[in-house]
Amino acid sequence: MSTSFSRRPVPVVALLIALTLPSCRRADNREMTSEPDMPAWFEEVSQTKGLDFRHDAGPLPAGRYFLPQIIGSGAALLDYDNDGRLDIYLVQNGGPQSNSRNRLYHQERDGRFSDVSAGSGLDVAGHGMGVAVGDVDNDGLPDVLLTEYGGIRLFHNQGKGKFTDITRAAGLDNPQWGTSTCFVDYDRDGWLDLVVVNYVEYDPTKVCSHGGGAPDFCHPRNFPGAVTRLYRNRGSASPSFVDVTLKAGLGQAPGHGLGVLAADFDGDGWPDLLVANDAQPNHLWINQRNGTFHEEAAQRGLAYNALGQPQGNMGIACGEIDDSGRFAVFITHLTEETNTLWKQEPRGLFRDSTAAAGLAALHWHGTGFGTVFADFDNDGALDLALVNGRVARSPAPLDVSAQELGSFWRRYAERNQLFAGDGKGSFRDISPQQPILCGQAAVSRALAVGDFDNDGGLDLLATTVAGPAGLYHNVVPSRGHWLIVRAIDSSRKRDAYGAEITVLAGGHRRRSWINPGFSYLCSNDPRAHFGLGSAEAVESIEVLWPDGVRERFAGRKADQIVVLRKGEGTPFSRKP
Amino acid sequence: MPRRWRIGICLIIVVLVLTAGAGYWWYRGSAPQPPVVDTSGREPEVAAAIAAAQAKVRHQPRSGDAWGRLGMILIAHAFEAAADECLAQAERFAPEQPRWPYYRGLLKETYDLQAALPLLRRAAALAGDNSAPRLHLAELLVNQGHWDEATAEFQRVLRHEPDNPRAHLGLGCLLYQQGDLDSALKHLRQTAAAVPNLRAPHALLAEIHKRRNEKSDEERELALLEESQDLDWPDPYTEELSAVEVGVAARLDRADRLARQGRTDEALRVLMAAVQAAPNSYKARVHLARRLVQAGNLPEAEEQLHAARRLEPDSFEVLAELGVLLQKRGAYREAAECYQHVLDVQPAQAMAHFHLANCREQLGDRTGAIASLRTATRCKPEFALAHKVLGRLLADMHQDAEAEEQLQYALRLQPEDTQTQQLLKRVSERRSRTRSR
Repeated sequence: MSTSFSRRPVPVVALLIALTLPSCRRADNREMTSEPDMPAWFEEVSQTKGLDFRHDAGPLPAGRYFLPQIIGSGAALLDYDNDGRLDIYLVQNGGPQSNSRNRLYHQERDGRFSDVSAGSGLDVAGHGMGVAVGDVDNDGLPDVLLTEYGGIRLFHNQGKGKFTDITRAAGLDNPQWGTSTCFVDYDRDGWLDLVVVNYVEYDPTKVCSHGGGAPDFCHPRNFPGAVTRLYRNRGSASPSFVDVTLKAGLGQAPGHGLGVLAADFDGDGWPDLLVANDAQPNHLWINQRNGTFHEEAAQRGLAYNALGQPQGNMGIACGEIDDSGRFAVFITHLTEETNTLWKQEPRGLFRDSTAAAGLAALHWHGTGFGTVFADFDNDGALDLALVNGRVARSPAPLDVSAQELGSFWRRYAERNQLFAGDGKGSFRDISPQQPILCGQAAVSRALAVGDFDNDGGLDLLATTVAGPAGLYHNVVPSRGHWLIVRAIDSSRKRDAYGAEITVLAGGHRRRSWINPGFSYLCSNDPRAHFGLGSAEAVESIEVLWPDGVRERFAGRKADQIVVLRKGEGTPFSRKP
Repeated sequence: MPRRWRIGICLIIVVLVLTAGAGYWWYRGSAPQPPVVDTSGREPEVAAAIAAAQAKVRHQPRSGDAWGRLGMILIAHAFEAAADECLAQAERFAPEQPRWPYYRGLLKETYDLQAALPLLRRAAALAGDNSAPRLHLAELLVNQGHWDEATAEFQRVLRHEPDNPRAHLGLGCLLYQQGDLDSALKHLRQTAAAVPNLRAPHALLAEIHKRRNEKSDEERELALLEESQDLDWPDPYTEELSAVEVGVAARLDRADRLARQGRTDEALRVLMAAVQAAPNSYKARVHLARRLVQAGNLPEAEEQLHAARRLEPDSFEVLAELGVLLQKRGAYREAAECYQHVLDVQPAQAMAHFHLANCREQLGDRTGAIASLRTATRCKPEFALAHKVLGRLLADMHQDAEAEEQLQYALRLQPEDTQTQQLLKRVSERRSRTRSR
């Protein structure tokens, strides 16, 4: 076998990796105005709502390109003061000595955001990456875990907007390059454990170039991969963790980890872990129900694409996109690859269904990062949003819409994409008709979803490298009916991460999960959202709690936020 | 001949010559000119190669080969927009040549699929016996969901080359996608038999056997998958692109290829030429040093690494190589200094901690070595060798509880390591003896 066009780390290949989208952008621009009759789904409200965050990616590279810069930084949607309104935490990447500190924004009654960073304890500087939110000591207040290039930090929520760094006291240590992270109760003991995905064993002194010496960010293949770390919560009032990475078996397979999703992939009721690896096969760690995991991505069909090739796996979206009763997984990839949709058929086995879903034969696609399945128009069918931005510089003409980024970062800018789902597993590209979300090129990274104004319409928060964070308010006209479910384990005083919620409405059973940890480097609204279409009421709500207990709750009118507490429903067993 | 006639003939000749001259002048003047390429900041060798190819185009402005060659050189050195322009001209002047639409298609498929597909289709049609463009097109069609056309392309290749493993792989993938598991198995097995260390067929075979609940077959394929890798299919056209690449990176690649083929002397010569051509390239010196070490010329290798260190004082690549070399000749103190320098810049560099531990142990500082190994395993928990050496050192110092734990970690990561098994057995026995006492 000879060296191939697509795999060699040499300029001939680099040209393919490094190309941008000049002509498709022109095509996009044409399309942006070709179907003006479709109403806008979003309006950008960051300025009007007081969200004035601008990402600091550190000094512009010269000679050596510092890889953490292009990986970007994430964000979290969390209600840290339990006032019922989502607040925002945004992460910086300027480095430990930078004046740019992570920012915490509190949402006021009028929907505006106030910068409450100073004195919150969350206003730290560093090469910030991902965020996970979870109540590690079951005190009813969500705590925050931050990953960085070279470390992690656990901030304990003290109440009244104050957080304390308890990393060392809690026994947490990860000197590697942490990226996405999430909380999951993998051993079902009622205490949230922690998963930290690590990217590569990076050597910042390595100089990489594309094409006859032009410097650029290194490809991850230049560095050894790193293992995903698992920290078990010892379960005490003062948070304490123990690193069980090796004991749990996660040390067996290092990878270039970027994305993570904890969910029950094999249907046994126990949470498994999917790790998206950049330029390597994904890892699917199946929970063996004894504190250990077994890697099964290849045989379950999630490691490679339809041609058996590993891809540049970045962000992960998960949702029930048809009436199958099983969730599908979507992972974003590089511009020269295809973002991939895997459907479950049967339970526990996945198949690349990208083409059948209409997500393959697109005019263009970018280098995808953050991605979410969400029913934006509440028609009962999940839609798909993803944000893009290159990882290798483009020598092609620059996108005019990214002018404010400056000449360096503009070369990495791409536009976002939005697809409308039909509820049967197929999608239609509506990006050209959505210029607010998809018309502005940027180096986008995290994409978080949540209902900021509790109006039943899902909103989006996107982060960019060296640019502003975008807050996209859902303005879909004539949205369908909806229901938002908050599921609380009363004995633990916290959101029941991992609970599966099934809503019966209008003759449809729709499923969603209490799980804020998906997409890329971010933590999302922990509540489950359901678009109900024309159904004005739900007939019943079923909850499969993380410990395997099933409860049924009474039906109710649509268009409200309901809080379900474990123990208050009617227990039932699934029919054999 | 009357004088008038003679004058008339002369005039006609003059007019003809002038017309021919004007025609030639117009012909030359209207010929396309090569694009301007900014080579500032690039290696002189790269700039020279581009300038030479541009000169050839100016000399033969209607030569498809000259334009194509310039396009290839531009592609190889990442001037994509200019390359596309040249290849379009090459196609114009040599429309029968498959290379030019193929290279353009490869360029465009990364950002404009609608423009790439006709180019790749044209290249496939022109390529004749060379199936690489057709197979590339077919794979692109699979990813784009154009399964009927992709199937037809794979089948067309198989009509001429019935054993082509790449075509069998493509068909196997398509049949699997369409739910025909039996037929998919046949094609994938054919690929696996032809290219046993290729990862893709084993991955798909494992997946199919899992679906069919054929446990032993699934396990066999998973075991083969572990030993296989992503390989690249032969493609004469893209290999030609590699061949026109110049500069340090190209020389280093060439040397690596030669070394892989066992042609170590030639590889060494290429690397020496690379250092001579680019004395300020620390990478060239590191590569040369590695090859010199393999050739047993340690003093020259060390000299190259010292020179590289002067160029890139903080480079982990340089310092790690130098440290290893210094350890080889027993200069543990200097080697430790190299690793310490790495750790000043990159405190979480597990390999540097590991080597530093070795130096410390050799210098009689066991406590320091243990501390370094603890940090190495903290930075990289999957570092089996570090757990093992740490276990051994702790056992030597009779810290058996921790030694046992470290050796257990090492075994968990490398269960077949008999040395660790024996060491763990000894430590565990000693622990139980101590406990029983």
